[in-house]
Amino acid sequence: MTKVVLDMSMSLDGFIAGTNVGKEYPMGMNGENLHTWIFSTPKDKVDADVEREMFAKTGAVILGNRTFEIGVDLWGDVPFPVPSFVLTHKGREKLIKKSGTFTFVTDGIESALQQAQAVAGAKDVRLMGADIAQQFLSVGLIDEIQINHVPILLGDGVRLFEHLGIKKSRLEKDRVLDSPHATHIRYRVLK
Amino acid sequence: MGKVILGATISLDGFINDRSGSVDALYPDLADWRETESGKESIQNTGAVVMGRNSYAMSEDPDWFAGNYEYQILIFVLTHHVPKKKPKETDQLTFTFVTDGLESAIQQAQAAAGDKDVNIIGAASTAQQCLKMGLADELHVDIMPVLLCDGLRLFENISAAHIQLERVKVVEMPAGRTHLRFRFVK
Repeated sequence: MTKVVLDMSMSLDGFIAGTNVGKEYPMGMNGENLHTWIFSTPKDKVDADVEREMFAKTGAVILGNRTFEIGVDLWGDVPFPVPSFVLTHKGREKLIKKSGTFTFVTDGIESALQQAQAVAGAKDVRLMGADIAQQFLSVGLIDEIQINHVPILLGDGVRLFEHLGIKKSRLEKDRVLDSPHATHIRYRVLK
Repeated sequence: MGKVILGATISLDGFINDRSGSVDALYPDLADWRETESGKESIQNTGAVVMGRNSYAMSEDPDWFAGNYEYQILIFVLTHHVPKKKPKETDQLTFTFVTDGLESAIQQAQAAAGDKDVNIIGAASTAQQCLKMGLADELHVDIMPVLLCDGLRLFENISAAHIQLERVKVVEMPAGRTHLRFRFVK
């Protein structure tokens, strides 16, 4: 069964990007430090395993239009080598890239999810961007949350858990892996 | 001299209490905590506690601390008004009310704690002040598996540019609690 997975690198103070996110600073000011665990050399074995698993388990991606616009040139491709669904208000033709296709979905998150699930097979549907994460959390459509807690404080920026429009959500801790660069904690969302 | 430790328990979304001010969802394991390795170690190594005003006020009856609080040691309470009647004390647990600020409270606590650690146990404002002023040696953050979605955030209004952390260790504990321990790089 396909799971809907939120997997984010977050500062200790809750930010997944710094301030001034845009083409110049795709991760916001100092936000690139959230990905030290991915880009450090030599890479810690724990971090390498987590990254490998992340790619291996991703069957489809749902992202917001803003993440798409900022990321598309940077990636020069789809963000993961799988079909990618962009939630947007303005429709456009599919965009075929080297290792996958962007499909633009204008009729809401449930439609995007159905389309993503249809192609993900037994793998996960991965969400990208705080706005998409919040929309999915608000309607209880996330099965698993992995937070890569990064030992930095950004002070300001894009918060992951905000505007959730729910009262409370119980989680179950499932796994903890940790390196000097990040503590990867995986939770199941209890429904 | 021992270390100065800033410690707090937060929800995954960063809150230290819920919108009604309750901390119940963050401490389902309160009774068992002191029996865990980390709990025992903390109780063993802590020589004094600095407590923010709000944390102190959270206990409806201040006489409760003597004999019940996990740290039966010297407690320094930050306050604007020293209470007329001191709460109940014991041979181990005594109260000192400090009116001239966090830094002074930490100094007094360190002097009293000797070789042992000082634990700063505060609601958000004490923690934020402590971070801003760089008063602690270590940061201990316990993350609980719950989204509270509202309440007081631990990390808010901090200018973080100067703060650098280094992971010391991570400990998995019962009830889904994950203990993250960092050193402030000075």
